[in-house]
Amino acid sequence: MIRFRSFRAALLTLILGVVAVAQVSTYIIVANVNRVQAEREIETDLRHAVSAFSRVNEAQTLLLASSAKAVASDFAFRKLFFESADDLRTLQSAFASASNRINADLNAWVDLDGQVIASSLPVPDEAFMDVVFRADESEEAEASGYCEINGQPYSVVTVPIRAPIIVGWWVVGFRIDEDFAGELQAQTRVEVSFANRSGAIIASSLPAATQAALETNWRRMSTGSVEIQNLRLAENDYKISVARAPLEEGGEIAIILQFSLDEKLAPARRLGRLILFVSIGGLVVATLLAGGFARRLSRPVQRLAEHTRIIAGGDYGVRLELKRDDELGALARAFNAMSRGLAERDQVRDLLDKNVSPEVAAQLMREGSALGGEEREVSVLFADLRGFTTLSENLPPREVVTLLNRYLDRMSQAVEAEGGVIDKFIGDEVMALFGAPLAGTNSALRAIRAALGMRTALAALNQELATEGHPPLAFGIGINTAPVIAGNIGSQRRLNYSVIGDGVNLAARLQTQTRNPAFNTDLIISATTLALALADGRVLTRDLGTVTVKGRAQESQIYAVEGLE
Amino acid sequence: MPFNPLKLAALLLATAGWLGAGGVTVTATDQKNEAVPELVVWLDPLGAPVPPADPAELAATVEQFNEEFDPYTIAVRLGTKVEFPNRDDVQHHVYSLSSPARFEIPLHGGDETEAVVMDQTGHVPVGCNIHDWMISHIIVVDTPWFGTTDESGRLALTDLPAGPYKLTAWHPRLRKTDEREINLVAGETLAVPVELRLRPDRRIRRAPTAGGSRY
Repeated sequence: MIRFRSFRAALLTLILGVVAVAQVSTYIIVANVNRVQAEREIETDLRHAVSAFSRVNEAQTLLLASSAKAVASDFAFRKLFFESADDLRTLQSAFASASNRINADLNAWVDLDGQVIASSLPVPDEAFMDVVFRADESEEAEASGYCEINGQPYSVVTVPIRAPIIVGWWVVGFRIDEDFAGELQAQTRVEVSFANRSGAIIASSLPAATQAALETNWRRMSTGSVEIQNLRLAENDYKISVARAPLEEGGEIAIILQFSLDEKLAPARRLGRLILFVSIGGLVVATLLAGGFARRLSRPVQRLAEHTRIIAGGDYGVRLELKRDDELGALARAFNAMSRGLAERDQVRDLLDKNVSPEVAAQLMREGSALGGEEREVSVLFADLRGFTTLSENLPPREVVTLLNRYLDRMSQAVEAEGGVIDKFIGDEVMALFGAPLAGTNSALRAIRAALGMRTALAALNQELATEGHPPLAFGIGINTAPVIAGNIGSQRRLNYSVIGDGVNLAARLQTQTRNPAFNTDLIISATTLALALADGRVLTRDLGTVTVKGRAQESQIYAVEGLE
Repeated sequence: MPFNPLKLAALLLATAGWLGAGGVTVTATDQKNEAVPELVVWLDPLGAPVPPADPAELAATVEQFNEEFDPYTIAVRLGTKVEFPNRDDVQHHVYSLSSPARFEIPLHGGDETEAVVMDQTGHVPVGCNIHDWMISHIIVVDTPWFGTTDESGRLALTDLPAGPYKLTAWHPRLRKTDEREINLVAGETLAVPVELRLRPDRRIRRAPTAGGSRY
């Protein structure tokens, strides 16, 4: 099986293949039909020629017989027959004259017993016994046949000499020679050759070279039931039919009829050539048409492929312009619709990214809204901005939002730098998660690092704010690590990925503890968090003792983070 | 008057004939069992001399009428003078090249009558040189008992002396004459069926445009 690298080549090959097969079969069928037809015609012609031979021969014989009868009715001729025995010289000269009158090539007088009295050619005495006997038995008192004298066949006819009863027979004949063959050929358009008893061609309408070839070949031909046979003579195919005629003296002559197959097939061959030309022309036209068609089909496909690559590259804004009403046009429209769909989805994704953390967004994209409902150990970080309310009172709202966004942006960066996820902004408060939605190792230590990063980021922001003439900002951070329930929480129309549980509340409460001046810190962590962080690294803390936070019955051990070693 | 044994024999024979005459009826049929008319039949006595002919009887006529010879076949006794009267408006050229009688009556018209004496026995085919189809067969026999069959193929000969005879039948369509010996008994008529094998009739066809109104 051939593999095509291009659809266009495959289509072209298919169309051309179909056209070529159709044309080649047409050509073969037509050529075949023509040949069969020609052969049939030849066979008919040959059959006609055989009967034409008989007709021409009969006509010639009849003519000769009529002339002979006319001459034989001459009274002097009749008298001569009776007086011949006495005067042979007179007989012979009268004989020559009679021959002249009827234009016969052969001329013999035969008595009632069939014995030759006189003959223009040397023949045995009983040469015409049979033909005379047949004439004597017939109603017309006439009979014809063939005889061969010195290798030359003659067509002979015998007529009675009446005085007034039949007193003798006159045998007259004509040579079966080139003239006779030529006459037959002119009448039938079939080449005619005659072979004598020994098989030698003695007369033929064929050219000498073909005649010689026929002489050596025709004897090999099977005789009998096969009526018409093929023979190749002098580089020409002939259809050959052989008729035979018995000779008076035994043996037979052959009338060989030949029809040149090439000659007969010539019109069919011309037609064949014409069909071939038309076929080639048709093939060329088909190539051009098919090429155009294939291109019309493959070009938009190529464009679609190109377009697909562009879309795969992420550019959904490009539109495919194919002004077609067919399936490819529909495909292009579908493609454009798909591009639009992809662009919309991309926008949604973008918005999602901004509104939820990229990790949550990715997970949402991947798993849909079926997120959550699982228990996780999560380190929850709460960071609350201090003194912002006072600051915002002296600033126009637009600048407040800008400033707040600047702050939140820096804080977010610090959180994300440690693999944390912003759960939400609650006004100027930041809630961040470590260990959810993606389970991660050392979430406690990362939360502490993030808090320290936020501290650094805030210092940097404060420097900027100082140069801008704003008072510095401060925050307080609380971190707790506890098993919580994580999941998409909300109504059917609006969901929020978040965590709930007592551990979350504790984190929020620890944050508020930073407001206690006695503790003198902006970062308080629970004992659980410290314990976990210490398992992974070293944290410098100051023990703040135990506190009882709102909503919790038992006391909580808390620590202020001084730094990392 | 010297004794003439021949005359005596003739007298005796005549007496015998008168005393005991017989007859013969020939019925001729061909291979298709059809009657053969115009068959020439004659009887040669075996072992007995032929009675002399009466000169008055030695006359016969073969007419040329309507461009045909009539009759087609005829038997005549040796020495018969056959006349060839022309009853037509057209002329005829009557001839025979046969060895028993070779004669020629050049073109002759209506009222001319030529005669030929048949002085040899045998078959004398007579033709007309200008009308190829005209033919008549004269059979010259040396016996007084002869005749031709009628349309029904029959011929009756009577008043024959009893004794053995050679019966000969001749027809243009016979290859050879049909011969047989018969014995005639006084007072009886012998029926002789003659079955013949006739050859095709090869008479030349009459030219359709040539004169004759009753072809």
